[in-house]
Amino acid sequence: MTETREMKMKVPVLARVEGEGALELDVDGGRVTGVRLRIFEPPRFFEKLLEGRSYHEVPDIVARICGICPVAYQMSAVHALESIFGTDPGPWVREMRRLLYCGEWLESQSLHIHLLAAPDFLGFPNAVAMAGQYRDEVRRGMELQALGNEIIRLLGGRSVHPVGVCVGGFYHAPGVADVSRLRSRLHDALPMAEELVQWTASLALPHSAQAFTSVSLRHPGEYPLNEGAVAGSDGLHLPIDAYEELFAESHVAHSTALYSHYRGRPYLVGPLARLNLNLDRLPPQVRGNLERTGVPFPSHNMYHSIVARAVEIHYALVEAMRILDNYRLPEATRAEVRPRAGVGFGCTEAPRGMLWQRWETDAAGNIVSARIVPPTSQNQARIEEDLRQHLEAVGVDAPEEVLRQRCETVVRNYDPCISCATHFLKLKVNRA
Amino acid sequence: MPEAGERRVGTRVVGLGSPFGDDGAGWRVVERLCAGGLPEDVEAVACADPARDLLPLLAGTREVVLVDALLGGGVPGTLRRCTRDDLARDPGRISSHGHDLAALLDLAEVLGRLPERLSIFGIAADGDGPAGGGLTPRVAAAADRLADRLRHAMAQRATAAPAETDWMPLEDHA
Repeated sequence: MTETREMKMKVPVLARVEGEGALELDVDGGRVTGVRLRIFEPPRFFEKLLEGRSYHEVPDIVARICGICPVAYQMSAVHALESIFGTDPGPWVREMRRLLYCGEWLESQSLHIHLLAAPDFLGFPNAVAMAGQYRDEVRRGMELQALGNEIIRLLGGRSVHPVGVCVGGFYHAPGVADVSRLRSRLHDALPMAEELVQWTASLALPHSAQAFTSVSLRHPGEYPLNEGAVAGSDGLHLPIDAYEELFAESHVAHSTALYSHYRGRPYLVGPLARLNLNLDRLPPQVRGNLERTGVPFPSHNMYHSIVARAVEIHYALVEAMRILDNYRLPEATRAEVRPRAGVGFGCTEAPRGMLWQRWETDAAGNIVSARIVPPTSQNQARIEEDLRQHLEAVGVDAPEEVLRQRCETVVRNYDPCISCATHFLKLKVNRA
Repeated sequence: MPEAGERRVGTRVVGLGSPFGDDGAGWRVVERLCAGGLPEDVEAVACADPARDLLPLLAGTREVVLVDALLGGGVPGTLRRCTRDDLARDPGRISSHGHDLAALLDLAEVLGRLPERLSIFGIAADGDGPAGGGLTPRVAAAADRLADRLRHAMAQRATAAPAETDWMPLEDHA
């Protein structure tokens, strides 16, 4: 008979992620027999409270789901609703939506690299301690992040929970002078983004190789933001309205967040998955800069996520400049919307990964039902699988403090956004 | 409500907060300051997400005045002038969503981004007050009182040598 010795550590673990959760490991004879990322963040019932609301309220409500990626929630929603109503917002809106998304990528990916992830690889407990020795690098990150805020403010009116987006387009077109000012700031920042990619590649990133399926959107001609089909590294190519045929969400007892599986298996969404599947969609200057790092992509090393994030910062900057270069004031900032009953789908690439939504409206354009599948819920099963493989590879006999640090680093590769509140994560190791 | 903080100014008042309950106290101070008009080299801006917006707001100015709601700051509606050491500190709590004001100010200091002068004013919130909707009445009154005092002090400065004039001692009770 084995005696289970249970050790509890009540420490602020995973402080640099979002949400309230705990990690529970079962260890038996040096083997990890169970990994449970327990999320007990209370559910927020956004999908339920959207029912009965008019379509035009949706962009402002879904923006509240997340303080750091409101644009993603807005974009998937407006695409879905426009597909129901048969609305074609036209090329100006399409470009401005890409621009807005570039702002969110710049901001979110910069913040994650500099304030959350980099301290792990440079041996600091947090960003403040790291900034003492890496002042220029952190400043560079903050500047890139601020540019993202500026882009969002240009189109969204403000950087937090932007209000410029509506079904059909935008409420407002930025002035030519504002556009030109921002364009020159982006241009000046280009060397910073190139250096950032090189810097992330020079970090002492652990070697690791795991088998996983990368899933992201793929578009015929662009690095994916707002449009494309659901693609997988196993050859998957699925229209977004068929997503539910192969992807399923389920409840597990230890978490309030839903788990997603693809053909019954965990899968990866996010920057690494996107880059793995869309290398050939990068503009030559972005791809060339990446190739100079020597980091091989596609990669099955989850620690290369930080490099992928930096590449996406570079891409977002280049893409935003392209759009601003061609900027013209439009005749109309939004297409006329004629509501009708139906079901529609939206799937766009949030900074943390694919964000799929399904919406149903009645004839007046009121919401009958909404389903929102955020990237973190899609990555949850993959995070648990990663932790299990990682701990088996490095061994579980290490002191708990060391185990905790390793688990944190693994989880942070996914930049999970469990909720919009940061609390504590407790590690519980059950050793048989 | 202004948010950007783009232009160079002598003094920037930054109200931290959200639309939820007494957490909106800092925003109310900004609203009142803006509604009453401000001297040319002063701006007042609202900040909802310090983790990403505070550092840029500390730049381009000699002086920053931070205003935030305080929990554990005494009777709701009490105004307090705080130092950085008064703020609870947990550097691990900087995240893309949550924020820890003390840790962000530490980061700004390490990066050489603190303005020459930094003042922090807290307005004691009612922790049991309404989570949604507006401010509890005495917290709203305190925010208005603080805005008026800041405005008064700024007017006095206009006639005095700036370096000589500090903000008034601010410890009062609702």
